[in-house]
Amino acid sequence: MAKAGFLSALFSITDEQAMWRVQQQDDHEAFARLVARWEEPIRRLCIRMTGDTHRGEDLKQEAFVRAFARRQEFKLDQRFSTWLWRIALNLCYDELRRVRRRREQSVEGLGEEGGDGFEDLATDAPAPDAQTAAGEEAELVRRALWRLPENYKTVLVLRHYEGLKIREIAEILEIPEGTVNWRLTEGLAQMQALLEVQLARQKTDRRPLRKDRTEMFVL
Amino acid sequence: MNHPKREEWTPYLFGEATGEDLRKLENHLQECQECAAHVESSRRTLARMNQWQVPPKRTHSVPAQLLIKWAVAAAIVLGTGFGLGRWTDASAPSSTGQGLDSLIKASVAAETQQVFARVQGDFTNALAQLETRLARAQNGETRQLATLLVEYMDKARAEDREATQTLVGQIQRQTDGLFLSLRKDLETLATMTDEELHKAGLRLTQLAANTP
Repeated sequence: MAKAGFLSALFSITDEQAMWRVQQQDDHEAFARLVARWEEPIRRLCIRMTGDTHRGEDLKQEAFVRAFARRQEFKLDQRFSTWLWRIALNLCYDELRRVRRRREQSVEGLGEEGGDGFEDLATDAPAPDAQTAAGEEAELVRRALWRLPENYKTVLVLRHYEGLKIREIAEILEIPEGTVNWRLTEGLAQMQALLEVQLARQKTDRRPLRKDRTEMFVL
Repeated sequence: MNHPKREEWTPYLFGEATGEDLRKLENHLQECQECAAHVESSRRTLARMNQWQVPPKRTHSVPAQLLIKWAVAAAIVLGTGFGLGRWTDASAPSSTGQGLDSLIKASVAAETQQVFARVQGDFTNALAQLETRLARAQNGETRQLATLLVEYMDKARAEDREATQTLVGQIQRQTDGLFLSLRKDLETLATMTDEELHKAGLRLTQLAANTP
């Protein structure tokens, strides 16, 4: 069945070839394959950037809608993934800005925002078993990452969680590799500080677990 | 002692230091407790960060009621897809297929209908089974059933492709001259069906996204 490969040929094409088909023929099948390949990484990125599973999933969806809508803007000499990461990141930034604005308005309404910004990271549960401890630890990491400035968060998420090389991150963000390296260094140091503050609080402060204040604005 | 700068350790921590740099850093680490402590605490932080894993897809339970709606929606959409495909096949213009042997075309059309009826039948059965199970499903089981639904859809999709390929093969054996015009029809059919499947998938995702 040598001549019957017109559909099976779709099974082994590269991202860029698929994108070419999407550009040339509005090929839904090819685009569906791109979605299948990339939706999990993009979803993880959006969830980690926003610290919110629901919002992250919406943003992932939005990223693919935008990618399809802007398919003609994709240059075939670049990597599809680079282009897609950029689209998703820009959506995350927009979302974070919206959240920040809402939060600032809220804070104005309340009249104050006290403390070092760590106080709502306090969390505790009496004598947790192993499973609960792991869940709590994850929650602490999520909150700490949420606190991290955008620039640092982006490079840490792409390098540590998504395993991208410093060179690739530099390409996505269109900045020098040295800058990526510096942001990673600073981001990791801040992450460490945030996690240590929480750990210390967890040991001394036995208040019951309550919702992250920021989450009120996120949700 | 001449310590490497803090940012010089970063590529090392992320496994990107190579060659001379790597050798230099490793040697330094052997003899400098201060830097060893920095590397150690950074590694601890990275390990702690791994505690936050994002599990694939959605993990919270989907109400069985909603799943049934999905299944029904999928069945309707699929039915439309196959119906359209059949219609397209039967009424395809024969501009490139002048002298098209009507006998061959009729037999291929019959074959097409037969295969798609079978595929659609299988899929409908699968959905019916799923629906029955959903009605009985406990909360803990809904997640597993969601996976099943996706599997069924994938299977239907694969079968659809396979059917199209089989048909194309058959046409080729019968006559190479008519191959092109018929292949065009089948391609249209396949694209339309796949498109409907894709739309169904998108709709399912949207529905899933709307779940409280």
